[in-house]
Amino acid sequence: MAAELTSEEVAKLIVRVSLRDRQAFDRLYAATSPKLFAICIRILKDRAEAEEALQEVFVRVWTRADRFAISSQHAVGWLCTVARNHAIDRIRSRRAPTKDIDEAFDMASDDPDPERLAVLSSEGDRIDECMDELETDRAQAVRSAYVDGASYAELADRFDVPLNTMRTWLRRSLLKLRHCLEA
Amino acid sequence: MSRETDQDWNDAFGDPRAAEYVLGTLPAEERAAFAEAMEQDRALADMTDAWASRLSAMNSVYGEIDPPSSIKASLDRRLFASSASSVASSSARPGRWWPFLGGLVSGLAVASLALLAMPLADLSPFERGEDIAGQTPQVEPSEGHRMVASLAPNESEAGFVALWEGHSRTLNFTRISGASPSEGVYEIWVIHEGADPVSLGLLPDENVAHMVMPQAHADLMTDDATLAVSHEPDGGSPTGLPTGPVVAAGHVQGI
Repeated sequence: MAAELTSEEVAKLIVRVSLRDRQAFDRLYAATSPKLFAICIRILKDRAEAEEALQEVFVRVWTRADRFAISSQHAVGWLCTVARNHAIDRIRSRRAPTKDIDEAFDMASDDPDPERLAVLSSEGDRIDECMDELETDRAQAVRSAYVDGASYAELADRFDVPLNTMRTWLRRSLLKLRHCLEA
Repeated sequence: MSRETDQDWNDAFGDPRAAEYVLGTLPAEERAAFAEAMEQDRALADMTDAWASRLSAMNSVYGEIDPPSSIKASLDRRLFASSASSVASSSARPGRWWPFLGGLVSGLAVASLALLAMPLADLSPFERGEDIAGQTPQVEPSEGHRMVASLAPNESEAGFVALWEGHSRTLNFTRISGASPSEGVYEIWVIHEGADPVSLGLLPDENVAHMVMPQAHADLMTDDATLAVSHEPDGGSPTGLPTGPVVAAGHVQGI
């Protein structure tokens, strides 16, 4: 059911959505909702909440599509950012995580489906190389924070270090990644 | 700003919160405060964008999961259903705008409009010293223009002043009277005589909004244009044309 779209095609759809083109919105939803739903599920670890979040994400896509024009991100990245930001806003404002973080790893498949979005394949390699330059536990902490939405507190607990140490770890790791990615 | 004794994170790398915001680790309050700061500060938003691009390769691990089809249906209801019945009538007669706009009088002199609009521009390249006189040679002269419009209330309390900076394609929109609608949203339109109004987007609740326009919209900001604000259902006009009453409008004037 989902269309196969390149990043450029997704970008054109977003621009048309900013001009209130509902057909473009429908196509954009068909092509990208499985990706954005996977993000919501992975971060929220709760299917019902992920369904609510996905709706909210697409309300934002509809109302804020004009902001894509000023973003330097590529189209699919911009959509993923809208989804991650909303899902992370939701978990950060919860009092406590609903499920254990390790349990949640099993919920979403780690295998990207190469047929739907041709965009993501080539970029993973470079960041993997750069991650390899970080110490193993720090790379794990970075991935866990980004991919699963783990908080400083959860990561400090999991890696058994003080919270401020975790914050310093991650800041330094981000800088190293930046150096490596821009090298 | 949280500048801790992080030896290896210095000012050259920008605000570390931009990276932490993208990573997602900031606690709720810090996260909300940073998101708000970003709305007001283009440099911070650009920095955050750059981090999002750097880390975006990690998005490939998410895979894809088909959402239940009921979600799209309820999304459509939420965005489009409330005003679906008005689609036919409003799109069928865009001409109803013109009698109202013909009677429009701009109540303020251009000079005083410029003064009103000026304080809004504090984040703009103009205020950072890249003056309008053309010290930014990479910009086409036609894109460097600045214009203002006073949008006078029309059977409403809502009045606005708009400052357009062609140079950065930014429309600075300031509420000078009235409040956000209690239901629905305000939508901004640019109108050229003889053509259908074109939506420039939804007006945020804030009293001052800085909206950067895509090139297609920037091209419409000419001194024969009229800006108008209409009252629309949540999510904006479902038809691409104004469906609700015009609450304020005014002619664009070059400065």
